[in-house]
Amino acid sequence: MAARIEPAPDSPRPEGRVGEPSPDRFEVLRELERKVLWLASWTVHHANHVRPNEDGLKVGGHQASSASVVALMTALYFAILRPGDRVAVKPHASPAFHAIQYLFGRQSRENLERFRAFGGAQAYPSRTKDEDDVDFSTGSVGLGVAATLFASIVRDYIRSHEWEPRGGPDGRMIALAGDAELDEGNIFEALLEGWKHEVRNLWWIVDYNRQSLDSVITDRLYGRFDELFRNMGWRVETLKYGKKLQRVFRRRGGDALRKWIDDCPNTLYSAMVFKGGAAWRERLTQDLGKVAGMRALLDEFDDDRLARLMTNLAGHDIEAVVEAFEAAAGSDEPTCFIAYTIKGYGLPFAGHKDNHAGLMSVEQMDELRRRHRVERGAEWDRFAGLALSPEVLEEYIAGAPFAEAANRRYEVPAVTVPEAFPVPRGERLSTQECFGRILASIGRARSEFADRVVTTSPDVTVSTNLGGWVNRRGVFSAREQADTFREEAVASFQAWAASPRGQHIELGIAENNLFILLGTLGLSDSLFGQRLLPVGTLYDPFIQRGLDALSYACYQDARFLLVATPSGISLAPEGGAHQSISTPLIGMGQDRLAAFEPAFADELAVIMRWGFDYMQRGRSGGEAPASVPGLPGDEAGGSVYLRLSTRAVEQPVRELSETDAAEILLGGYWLIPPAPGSDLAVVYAGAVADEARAAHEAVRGELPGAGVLAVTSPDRLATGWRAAARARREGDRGVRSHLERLLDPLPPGARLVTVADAHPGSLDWIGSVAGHRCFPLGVDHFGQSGSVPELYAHHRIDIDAILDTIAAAVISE
Amino acid sequence: MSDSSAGSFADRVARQLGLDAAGVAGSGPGGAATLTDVLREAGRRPPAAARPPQPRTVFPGDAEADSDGEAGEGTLRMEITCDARAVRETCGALAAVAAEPPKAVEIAVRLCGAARRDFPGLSETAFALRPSDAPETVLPPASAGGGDRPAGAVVAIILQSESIRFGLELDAGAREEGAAFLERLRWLCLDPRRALL
Repeated sequence: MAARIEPAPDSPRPEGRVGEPSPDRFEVLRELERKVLWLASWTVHHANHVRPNEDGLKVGGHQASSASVVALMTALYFAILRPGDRVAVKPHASPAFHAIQYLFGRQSRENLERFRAFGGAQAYPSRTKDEDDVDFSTGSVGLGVAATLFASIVRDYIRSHEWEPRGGPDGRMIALAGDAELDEGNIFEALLEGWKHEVRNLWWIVDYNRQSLDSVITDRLYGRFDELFRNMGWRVETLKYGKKLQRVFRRRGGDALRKWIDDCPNTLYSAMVFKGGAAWRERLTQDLGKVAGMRALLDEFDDDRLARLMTNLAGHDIEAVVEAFEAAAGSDEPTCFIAYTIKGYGLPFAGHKDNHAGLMSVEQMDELRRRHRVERGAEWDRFAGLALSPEVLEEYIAGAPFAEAANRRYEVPAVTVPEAFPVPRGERLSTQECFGRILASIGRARSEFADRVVTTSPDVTVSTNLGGWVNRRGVFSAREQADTFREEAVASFQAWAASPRGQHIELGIAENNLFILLGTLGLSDSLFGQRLLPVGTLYDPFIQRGLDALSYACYQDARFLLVATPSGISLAPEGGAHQSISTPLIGMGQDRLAAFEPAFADELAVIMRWGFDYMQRGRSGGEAPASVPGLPGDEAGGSVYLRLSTRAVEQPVRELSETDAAEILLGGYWLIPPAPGSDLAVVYAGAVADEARAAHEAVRGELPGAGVLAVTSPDRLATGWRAAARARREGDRGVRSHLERLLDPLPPGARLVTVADAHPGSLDWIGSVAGHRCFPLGVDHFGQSGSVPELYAHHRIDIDAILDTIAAAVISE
Repeated sequence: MSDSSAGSFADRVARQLGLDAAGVAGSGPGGAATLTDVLREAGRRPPAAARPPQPRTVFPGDAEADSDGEAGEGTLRMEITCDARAVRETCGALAAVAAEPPKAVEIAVRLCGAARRDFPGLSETAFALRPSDAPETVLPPASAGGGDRPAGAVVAIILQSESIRFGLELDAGAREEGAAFLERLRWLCLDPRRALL
């Protein structure tokens, strides 16, 4: 670490106090640092002790976690960041983030006053809920950090395809991470992928305060972090000692003091920080009193100054931080900054192991107010109590590079989606095969739409039928890579030549990475001003492996098409570990994700076409076609989840009308309409279409009025039903949902036999919509290896089970 | 694809009722017990689903198709079935429909509300109701237009036992509006209370 800091030549030199020389930028930055600490602390205090508390629950807000990164964030936002940089702020530093945005004029006082309250500034920075300039939502620790890594890949992908990212040519993706965040496995999954994809322009700044939520972390972790990052090809910059300590280390006895700190266990150091100057003196005298020069050195400091000296870690030294960041800025190497900090720095519970959820008392806050010279009533004043004039500070902030762009969220027009996708033909087809054929046909076309599609898969590209697409469009790589098998004349269906122009991003088998990559690809329009249409494939059961990352992507309002296949126990020989059961329930429960489970090729073609349109709606550019009926909220768009199967089913001979297509998109239609007044219907979803039809055929002679309801989306049916019910409650009595209209022919009390290769809960709720009696069939236990007939019989979703259930329904009273 | 299990559906129901289907007096082919027989034996009423057939989506493996013939090139032909009894019972304005076959009657189908806005050219359409086993062209020929019908439309309504089948055959000029109308009509017919006044 270099020893001397020079202000950057172009740094602002504002006029300061009257009659005094202009402050250098570090003087300004230190004042801003003080204000960020105050505002962050006050925001939390206000939420917990000033604002009326309606429900008596603790509001919380992490004053200590914010305090440990105040200098790091002040340096970043007010001296280092450029408009094209993108930042993921550790979730617990939300108060500090909002405070900085407030100083930039991008956050309102009203929102800060309502921190953690309905409609106010969010507990954790949120792209979708906060009004200020959040680049990446954070909250579930680890995910935001990894998002920056994948965003750097996305940015390079855009540049490699000769679309210039907006916001400047070399925007950096930056994560401000808590050290405990590095316990999250997804970070290490991402690191491996980053190494493979040669990530660059990526900074991870680790707030190394050595405290987790529960306690002080293990001492030896630092060394492991260092080695891990270096092994992944990263540069590691350790910011350990501040300038004051560095000066003392150069004095007599300084080496011994440095060694003492280096050897000091994290727990002891934290305890000393909390206890303060007298404790430091006693301990250092006890341990180092016999070192030549040590007593004289200690005698130079009173207790308060000794405490400040011993806590002068580089992560709290704005000069050291800026110096390190500026030194790194000349290279595009991925860089990890391990910044030593103290949790709660500058606050009365600094260093205490229990401070994570701690809140300052009213008395402690009054003491902080006194130290920060903030008058009562001026708590929200942007510059109250600072040594520099508001004009100086305003001018500095306005001149910060980060302030150059007023709007860092881009809006780009929607890419035109072809009017219709070709419907694969064949008597018996699986939806997975049809997906591959449709995507391959897109790949054959020369269009902007096809060029904007980007696929990705965690090592299941071939087995999810993406091969045809990849053969057409190639694998993405930072550099040209020949297809060795082809060059060696080894026959293969797969062409795997890789180049910077490829449109498939191949991942290792880690589902978290898939979803985080989809989440960043799906924000490319907003982050980089270039629209991509991401398609990700994986095995359906492993949605659960990456579920938090999927939810995170949706929470950020990323837009993508998720194709999960194969699904269900129809993936028969693969056994229970590869068979999904409850994923349709995930599809129903996941916000901003429209879930479908088509059975037929024509349904899939309609849904995919709609999906690419839906992905582009709302946020920028895209709009719902007025002619297509939809659900309330469809105009806002979202992501799409297709649950597909390898099981071939007999295809209907038909040409879908617009009404048919609309019904498919609304979630269902009568494959065989019931006779009006009929009291029996078979309701199915997905791969069990053959079983449902066959059972119906078997009873057709006796029960000719029975219908067969094809459910293409339990999610959309349920969403529409709830929306209609809510509208009626709110006075619009004429509103009826698609599902309610579908069920009109069936009188109350009619029997519904529902069947799905999935948890029965995905369909059985339909019985409650119009007072029908439901006889659900589905899979509610883990599967096992076997043939489809064996497993369908075992789990009672075969024809025999459906017939038995119809019989039971017929005789039910 | 067929039922892989042994026995008829009536047998299956009988088993669940604890009956021996072979011992039930049957009215089916060869004296076999039908579902209705089994339920009657158990003192239960047959379900409403035991009522008439309905148009079906056609699959290659289906033993029979429900099409009444090929439509000409450039035309669209669809059919819808609804329950004539339900029409009669629920639509006072359609009392004439109660006339017993084989008498031909004319009925008025009047769209209301959103349907009227969606299909202004078809807001009021007269249909002739005739008994037939096959589609029958009624009223003005296809090319004549006239009345409230779009030019090029041929409307056929066939009464078959307890069901009414609406057929609409359209040439290319009227295809778009007519097809949309027919889709709407299909919904209306599933519950005549929706729009038949």
